[in-house]
Amino acid sequence: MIAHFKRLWRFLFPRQSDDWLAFLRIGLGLQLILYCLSARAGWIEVFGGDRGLSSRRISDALISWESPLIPRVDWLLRLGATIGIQEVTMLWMVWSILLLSAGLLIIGLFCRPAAVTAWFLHLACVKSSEVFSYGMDMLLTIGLFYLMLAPLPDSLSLESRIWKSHVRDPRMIGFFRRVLQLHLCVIYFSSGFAKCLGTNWWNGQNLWAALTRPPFNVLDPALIARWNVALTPLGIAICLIEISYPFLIWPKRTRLLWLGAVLAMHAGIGLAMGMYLFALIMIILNLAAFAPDSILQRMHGRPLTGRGTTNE
Amino acid sequence: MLQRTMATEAARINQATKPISPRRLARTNPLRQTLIGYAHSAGIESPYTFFAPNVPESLKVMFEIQFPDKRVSYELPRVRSATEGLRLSALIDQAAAKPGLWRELVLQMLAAGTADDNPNAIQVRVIVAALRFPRPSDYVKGAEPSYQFVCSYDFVPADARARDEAE
Repeated sequence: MIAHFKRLWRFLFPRQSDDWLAFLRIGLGLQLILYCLSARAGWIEVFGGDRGLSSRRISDALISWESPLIPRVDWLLRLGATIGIQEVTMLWMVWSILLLSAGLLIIGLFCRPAAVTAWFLHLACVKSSEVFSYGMDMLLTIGLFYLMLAPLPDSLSLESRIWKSHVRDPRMIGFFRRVLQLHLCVIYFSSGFAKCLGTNWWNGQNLWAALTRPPFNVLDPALIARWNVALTPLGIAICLIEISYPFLIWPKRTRLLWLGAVLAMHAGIGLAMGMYLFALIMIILNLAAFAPDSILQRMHGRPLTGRGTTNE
Repeated sequence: MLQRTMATEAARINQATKPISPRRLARTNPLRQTLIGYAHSAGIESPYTFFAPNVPESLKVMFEIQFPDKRVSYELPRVRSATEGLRLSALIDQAAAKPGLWRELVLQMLAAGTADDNPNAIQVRVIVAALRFPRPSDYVKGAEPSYQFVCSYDFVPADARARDEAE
């Protein structure tokens, strides 16, 4: 019994370096900047409440029906109204603070307040535009939620270098990576399992449908039709990569292969279907969760150390 | 056979976990509100079934705008970026595919945006159609995609209603 408990303890709290956390912080900062830029053109139209049947009002009604505790843009607008800030001004302030938080995350200054602010504002925006949200929003929320709770600042952040903050407990750093790893396993298994139930993933029809339906029809359908012999094996490969992820991403012998397969799958989805932001967030989460420290350290441009880390 | 077994097991697990869902509690119950609030805050409120079990059919929305001088114009929903296109597609997929109040509300929301851009409009008809794409082998032989009518709704913009009442 004690031996089992010790094994579980060692699994949940492995000693880890904070390279993955630095990668997650910078990656999510970059993702947030792209989110802000992509949403800029329709920002006032989506969140403004004075035109037509506002999508924000519909989303807010849906979300407050779910639970009144879920953050919404409406809270911020009401706060602004009490101190005399107009709705449009307040909405642009929210956008600017979100962008500023993303910038602070990338350079690693005021990491914790920036992560909490980014999580809160992004969540409020996503929930207030719930009717327009898609997978990328949910995955960015997941990433920001873990980043906000993780032991920040990491040793690569500007904050650590300026104020020489103390080194965080490597076991706590390992624990948060473990939670992210387990969460990704649940995501891929559920997605793979659900796909396996669909008959059209086994005959290539779903891949054809996904690649030709607007707005994902980036590639010329004639080109895809000419290569239709590849649709069935690719459709099956997607099902198998996803459903076997929780089993083959852990063993050292298959980890790099499976990580490479998943990254290639997301890069392919991004390029072939125009889902660039969705692909980017999945690549960031996967690399943060499962990339070996040697790869992350090389990405950060610092010498390989292998400081008391385990990658099992 | 494997698929059938998997589907049966999934349905069994779903049935077994239903009694512990916080959604069974009263809406005003603080425990329900806290658990659902936490799920939304952590991004774990909805299932991770992207394009599963099958890719939904592609739905298109078009507006038919009528003016007082009997003129009729046609517009597509405005999309200013690729991301906006994805968001709009997600909204239309999840709302327009299922008949009912939610579909009507979402289509009314889209129509309201068009009515704002056309202040003289007396009626906006929202037409939803499903894109039927031929199979790859037929497409190579020259078969063309086609649209199949799904539903349409007529909405009278608030400004037009107010003008009618004033008259």
